[in-house]
Amino acid sequence: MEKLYLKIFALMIIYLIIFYPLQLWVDKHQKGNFDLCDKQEWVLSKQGESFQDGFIGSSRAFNMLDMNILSKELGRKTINLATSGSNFSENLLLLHLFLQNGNQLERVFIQADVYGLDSKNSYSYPFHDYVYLPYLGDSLVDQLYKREVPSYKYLMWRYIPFLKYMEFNDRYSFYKMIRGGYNCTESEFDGALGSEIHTDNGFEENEEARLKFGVNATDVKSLVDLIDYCKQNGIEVVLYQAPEYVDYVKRQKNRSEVLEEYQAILKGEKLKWLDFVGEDSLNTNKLYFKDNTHLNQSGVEAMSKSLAVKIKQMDNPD
Amino acid sequence: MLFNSLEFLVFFPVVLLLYYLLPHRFRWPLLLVASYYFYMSWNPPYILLIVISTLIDFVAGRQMSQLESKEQRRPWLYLSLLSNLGILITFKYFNFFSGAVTDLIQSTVNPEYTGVVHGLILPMGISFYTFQTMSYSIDIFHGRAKAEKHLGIFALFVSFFPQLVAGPIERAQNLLGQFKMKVNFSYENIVTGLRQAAWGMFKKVVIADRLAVMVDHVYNSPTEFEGISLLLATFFFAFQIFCDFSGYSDIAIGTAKMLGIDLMENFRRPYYSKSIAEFWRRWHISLSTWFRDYVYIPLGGNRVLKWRWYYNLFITFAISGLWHGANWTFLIWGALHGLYLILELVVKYPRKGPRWQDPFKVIWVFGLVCLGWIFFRANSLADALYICQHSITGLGKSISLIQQEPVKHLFLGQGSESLLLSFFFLGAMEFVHLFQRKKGSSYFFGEHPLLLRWAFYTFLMVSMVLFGIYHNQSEFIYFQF
Repeated sequence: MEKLYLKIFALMIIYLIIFYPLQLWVDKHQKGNFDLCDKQEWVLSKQGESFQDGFIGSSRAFNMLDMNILSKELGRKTINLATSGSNFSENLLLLHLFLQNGNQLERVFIQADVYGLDSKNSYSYPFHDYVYLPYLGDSLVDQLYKREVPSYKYLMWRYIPFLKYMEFNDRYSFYKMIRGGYNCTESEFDGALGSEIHTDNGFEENEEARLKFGVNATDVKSLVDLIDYCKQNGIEVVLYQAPEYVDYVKRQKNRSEVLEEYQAILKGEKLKWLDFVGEDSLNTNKLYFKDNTHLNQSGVEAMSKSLAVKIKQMDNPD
Repeated sequence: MLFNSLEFLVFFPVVLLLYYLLPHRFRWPLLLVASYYFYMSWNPPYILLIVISTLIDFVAGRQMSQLESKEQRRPWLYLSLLSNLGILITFKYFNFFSGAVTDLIQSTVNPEYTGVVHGLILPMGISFYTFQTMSYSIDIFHGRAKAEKHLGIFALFVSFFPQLVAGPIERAQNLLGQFKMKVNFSYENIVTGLRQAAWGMFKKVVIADRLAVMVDHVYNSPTEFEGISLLLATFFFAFQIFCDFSGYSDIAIGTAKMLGIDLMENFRRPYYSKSIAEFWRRWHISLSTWFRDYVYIPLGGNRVLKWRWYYNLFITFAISGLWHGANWTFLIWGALHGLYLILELVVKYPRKGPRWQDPFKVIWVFGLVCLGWIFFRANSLADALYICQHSITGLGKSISLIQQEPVKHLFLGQGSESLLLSFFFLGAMEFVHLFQRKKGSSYFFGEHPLLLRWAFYTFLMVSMVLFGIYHNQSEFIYFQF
């Protein structure tokens, strides 16, 4: 038995000798080298910049707002911080790391819809845990990982050196790191200020249209945490709901129940709410939609102008 | 739950620890609960199929053991076989046969006929546990094994988690008794089991899953490829399926060994075979011996007229093909191997000869096996025929395609580093096989000097951590059978 303990101990020592320094190296390397074609990494690469308006959410913010139009119409420096298929926990995590990097933000617009409070059923991978592994150890990052990944996984990733990179070793590829980084070195999102707009104007029905929605307590908590975090950092918060195609909205069964949840949060947090689902000119025009829940190029242009108008009205009610 | 998951990395040490902490009488319940949990973590309701199969075979076995003559025992044997085959046919073959009947009716009687299909998921490992329990019933019927009196132990025999979903398909005579024997903690068992499980994991996550990405790239749209790309993908598939399946077997044997239970050897470096007959003595040994004992020999084996002998071989392998999957491609794969064996008999293929011939024989057999793998892996018969034809006729065209798009046609959709790593790790595996050729399949440098042994362990560990494929965790290929 002693012999076995000795061997296991020896194996652990060898593991630590090899992988502890490697983890330190990868952590450091990843915090300084970014794949700028990846939206999350593009946001993480920003350092010491100041913005007036930031937009947060899933693809319904990432792909549906033209930051150049908004910047021009509002006369303010804007940035799109939204990422595809991400839940409120990830939104909070990314915003936190963005601010940790010395960036500043005056106001944030959070895209809030029925999908956001039911993220596990709405998105295929609602919390992109593999992206933020180098940042484990930060208290808020740890807190969000504990919330979103199974406890055993979090503990193993957090406390066994390098194990967090093992599962995603194609992303954290030594070959890429040693070779000098990534093929994508141009900041694709810079010109679009973080947005990615679909370039066609066709409409295609969603393959799987969801008609019933739940309210997930974790998503509600993450949204409240996100709002509170913004307030603590002196950032004004506005919630808005991006457009959805009217025929699709009509078929949804319990939409109003989910939206009541948002109304409760708005009331509790005393926030402003901009709603685009009720706006006829956008919602009823099929020519604006790429599918039931995403706008096409014309739709994005119309939406961005319309949002700018609403923001201006909100800022100057008189 | 997959062997190559973090869940298993937590699950197994907990089971192992409890196993050795608990008194002997509590060990079978622990293993039974662990086995059911292991299976239910995939799809909980499907555990009912295992429970039904267990209860029917237990009762049938008990009844048969109390009856004197075979005639009296026969109805109980039929009950066992019909229930197991019924489950198997319903879940695995119904849609295949129904589709074939539909095609026939559409082409002859009624073009409008739509047929009947069910949407049931194929239960993981169904072909393995039904075959294991059927062998139990057949052995009791023939008086080769004694019926188990303890329902719990029998339930464990059917569901023992290391080999539940992809074998080795064990025999009652080998496994049942071991569950009753008191196992003391043994350093040797733990170390031997760990070595074999680690070796299996290396083959699965470092080699098989890496090759799988490149093989899928070609086999999922074969008409986009020619010559060299098709040959390379088939060559890689030969090693993918070997590393995947023998890797699973090694993990199964290794984890069972740590629990003090010996499972049968399932692979013995099959690609070093010098004849197809030898290949089948080295590949998926637990299944080939199952078919030998329960299909081939009952059909008459080789103690019949020559034509009947060939027929027996052909039928056995065709059924073996269908066992792998309800698809014409699997049937053809099995039939092809049946034909190979018949041809070896007809031409009196020299199984022994001068040593200088051995490498040529090994290459020849490997080529024949690869031809079979094309049908095994292809998504349809049309794809398989395209690959067979264009692997040869498209050689010239593939060179220009490689020059135009090397990433797609030479690196099979991956970077050059993935191709190089694949060859490097295949070389490393063959290096170990060279040692095993002399010292036995379970040899993993255990007798070598400390430095070499630990270099080997470190190599496995570093390879698995840095070069294993873990995200998009792929199931083992044989789970679907």
